[in-house]
Formats: sequence, C-alpha cells, structure tokens
Amino acid sequence: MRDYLSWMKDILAFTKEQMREIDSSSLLQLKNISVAFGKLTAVDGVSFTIRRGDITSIIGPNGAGKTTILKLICGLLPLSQGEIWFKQQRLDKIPPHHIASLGVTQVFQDIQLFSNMSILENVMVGCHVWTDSGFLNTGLKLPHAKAEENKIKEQAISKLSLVGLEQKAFMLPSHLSWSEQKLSGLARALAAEPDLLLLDEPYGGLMATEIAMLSRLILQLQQDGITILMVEQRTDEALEIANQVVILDSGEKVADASPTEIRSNAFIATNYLGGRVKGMSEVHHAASK
Amino acid sequence: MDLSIVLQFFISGVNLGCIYAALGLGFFVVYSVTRVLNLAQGEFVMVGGMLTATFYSMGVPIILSALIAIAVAGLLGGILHCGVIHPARNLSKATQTFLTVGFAFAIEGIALLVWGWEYKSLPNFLSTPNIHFGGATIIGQTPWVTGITLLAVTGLFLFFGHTLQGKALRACADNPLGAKTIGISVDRMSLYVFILAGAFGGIAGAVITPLTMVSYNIGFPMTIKGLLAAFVGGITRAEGVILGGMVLGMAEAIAAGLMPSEYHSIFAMIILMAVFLCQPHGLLSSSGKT
Repeated sequence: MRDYLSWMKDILAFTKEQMREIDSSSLLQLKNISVAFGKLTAVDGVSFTIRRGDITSIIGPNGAGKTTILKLICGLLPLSQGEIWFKQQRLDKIPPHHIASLGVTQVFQDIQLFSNMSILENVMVGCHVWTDSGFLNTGLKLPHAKAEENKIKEQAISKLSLVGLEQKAFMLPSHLSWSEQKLSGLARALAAEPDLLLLDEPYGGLMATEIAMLSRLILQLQQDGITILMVEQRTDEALEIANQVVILDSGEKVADASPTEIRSNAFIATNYLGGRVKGMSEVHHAASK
Repeated sequence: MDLSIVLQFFISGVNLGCIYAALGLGFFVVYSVTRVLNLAQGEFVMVGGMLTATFYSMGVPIILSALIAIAVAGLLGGILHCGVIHPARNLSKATQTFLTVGFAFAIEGIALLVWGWEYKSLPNFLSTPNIHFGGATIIGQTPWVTGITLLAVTGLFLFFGHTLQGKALRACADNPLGAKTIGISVDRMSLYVFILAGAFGGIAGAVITPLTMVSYNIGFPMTIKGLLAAFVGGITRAEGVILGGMVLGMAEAIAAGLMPSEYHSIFAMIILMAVFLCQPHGLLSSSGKT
C-alpha cells in the first residue's frame, strides 16, 4: 500500500512538473471556445495551446472557422463559450485595442491599411501601443513627445527595411503592388513589437517567388522570438514552415499535431492535404467507403 | 460697381467665411472619426460666446476670458461624449446624431436658466479700432477673427499631419477596424475629437461675440451654418470644409450687399442646392463617402 501511495505521489509530482513546464512554455491557450452566428455555429468547442516561439498553422476548408478564430483572439468577435488565455491573462474579456497592447497583432487577409496615409505613416501608427505621450503632450509638441516621435519614426523605418520596403516609405498604399501592401501590413503589425503575430492567409494572391520570400521572413521573425499563428489555404507552404498544425473543419478541431505527424496520417493526408482540402461531408463520404 | 464696395464685400466675406469654416471644422473632426453629425456644435459656440462675455463682465481680461470659455466648451464636448455618445455607442449613427439634438436642447435650457433672455456683447479684442482701407471699413475684430481662425486651422493641420496622436485619429477615421487591431482605442479617440470640436466651437463663439451679440438661443442657427459649410465643401475633408465656409461667407456677404436681409437665407439655400446638384458629396469630397 505504501509503495502504491509513493508511486502515486511520484506520478502526481511528475504530472505537476510537466504541467508547470507546459504552462511556462505556452503563450496562448484556447479552451473549449465556441461562437455562433444565429443558428450557425462557426467554431464549436475548439481547444489548443500555442507554445512560445512556435509557428502554428491552422488549415482547413473554406468555412472551417479559421479566420473566425483569429478574430476571436483579437477580440473583434465575442465568444459564445470558452476562454482564451494569453500569457496567463484572460483575453476574451478585454477590448481589441487592449489586446494589441498586450502583444497580439494581426495582419488581415485584406490588409486594412490606412489608405490616406503614406506607408511610413501607416507603420508609425502601428507603434501607437508603446507610446506614452498623451494627447496634449503630442499636440503641443513637448520635448518628450518630440523625442518619442523621432524614435517611432526610426522604429518604423527599421521595420520597413526588414520587409524590404524602405524605398517606398513615402508612397500611398494604392501605389503599391498587392505583395508590397501585404508586407506593409506586416511591417505595421511588427511595429507594435508583438509577442504573438496573427497572419490571415499571408500567401493569398502571391506568386511563388514572393511566397518563398515571405516564408523566409516568417522564419526570421520566429528566430527573433515572435510566436506566429497563421491561417492558410496553401497547405504545402503552411506545413513547410510550421512547428504545429491545427486542422479545422466545420468549426471543429480535426487534428492538432506536428507537420510530420499530420503528413504521416493517411486519413488526414488524403482528405486535408495534397493541395486540395476537402469539406467534412466529403471526408465522411470517403471514410464510409 | 465701385471698387470699394467690392473690397467691402470681400472683407466681409472672408470674415464670415472664417467663422463658418471654424464652425464647419467642429463638424468635420467629429464626423471624420465617429461618423456622427454633432448637432450640438452650435451650442459650443453659444457657450464660448456667453462665457467670454460673462467672465469679461466680471473683470477678467478678455483674452483670458476667451481661453477659459474655450476650455469649458472643450469640456462640454467631453461631457457630450461621455454622457451621451459613449453610452449609446452600440446604437446606430443616426440615433447618436439625434441624441446630440437632445444634448443641444439641454444646454440651451441650462443657458436660459443661467443667463436668461439677455443678449451679451464684447468690445473688440484689445480694443482694436476699425481700419479704413481703400474706401472699405475693416471692423477692428475682423483681423482677430481671421487670424485666430487661421491659427486654429493651421494648428489642426499640423496636429493631424505631424503628430502621432493626429495620425492615430486619421487612422480611426480611415479604418476603425484596422486601428483597433494595432492598439488604438477608437473610443478614446472619439472622446478627443469631441473635446476638440467643443474647443473649436468655443473659439468661434469667443471671436464672434464682439461682432454679433450672443444669447442662449444662437446655437441652432450656428449649427445650421456650420453644417452648410461642412456639406458645401465636403465634410470628409478639412480643406473642403474651409472652402465651404468661404463660399458660404462670400455668398452671404454679397447677398447682404445686394438684397434685403429677408432674402439672405434663400440665397444660402440656392447655393446649397446648386452645389448638391452638381457635386452631391461637396466641392472637395474625393471619396464620395458622406
């Protein structure tokens, strides 16, 4: 009996240790989250954890709820059920601008640049989260505000250099190509110095060379310590750079594993990979066969 | 026509145009960020004018009186945001616009209680005498009106174009969703623009009081004039609002010289109709979004 108790104690101690390790390495936790729009359940009881420093790709067919999950993390949509935790802080109760100041920024699929501002100004505004000069200070151009603005300008230029757009800093977004606009959106998001960067379809509308360049850039950001969560339709590219892959279908989580495990699963490989992602009905049909 | 009369029309037109531009800019700053038409804008003008006159009558120097009045008008803008617009933020923009009318009535009622029916006036700032030039007369307050309006407009342009907070306001005006996700509090920016609009109204009120007497009920006509300036020029662009104010001021100055006073409003309405028929979104509105 004593042996059994000591064995149980060891097990519990081991589990606690493991849990503590998981907690310290996890940056974002989605716990049983759901959201419904009327009768349509867009996300249904999804849970997963993102580890600090990882690149996580969410893949799945159209309407799987991938972009909805990004919007839920950013606070742009309210949760119907569940919890979202980021750095031991609950995200789903706070407004979007505060979430950004905690270190979560997003690059939208349709970019959402500020059309009446130059690219440099767009990126400078991205630094807004870490400024502490108030409205009056800035309005009166007091020395502290002036120094901060100069610092912000330098920071914005360095982010534009990182994405290779420093030459186009003074252009309006409408004068840039699609891929350049995407990179501007990325520079703006990076200006906020995020811990977690959310990318919605980063490869959408890009050519093969541009995709390769963007992949290199994403990997470089990972090396710089930024954790990345991306939603992507292009499964090959998404698996190529990811450490973790989450597959969603009809709002439900189908798989959460490493790219190697995902590729080695015949069922998933057949139905969700290979350039074509099937919907749940097709999967059920294939499974019944 | 005698050249001196043309000059007189021009001077009066610029003077009126500056006043209308200042009124219209109050609408512009609020509308550009919140998409709400603040129909209480004229009340800020009334409060600015009445308070300047009141403090002056209590022996406070005129410039200091004007500064206090502008600060109070700005504060009133903040109260409008915190007490009316923010609690109603989930309602439609049309509803929020109508709520500003309620606020305007409340301010007018309070002003009636505080100041009664009495009209108030002020001498020209620093007792500036009238200037006679080329056969035309420039009223002593006119350079103050033009100068202060130009200063305020320049300050506004510099603030929007060259400061980070100004850029953040422009970001909210351009794309509130994008602004939220990079950490800009659209609610806070909305508060700032209401304070700014209040201050703009206060400036207009303080500078026009030496030219035209003010009373508790001038708010509504001022709101209409400001709206006309904003819509004639295009409410989505500051330059448009300034142009709209100038067009309206010039038209009114010409109408005042050529027509009996009862036709002035008709003349202004004809201009408005003509502009809207030719340029439905205003003279300088490039986006077409109003």
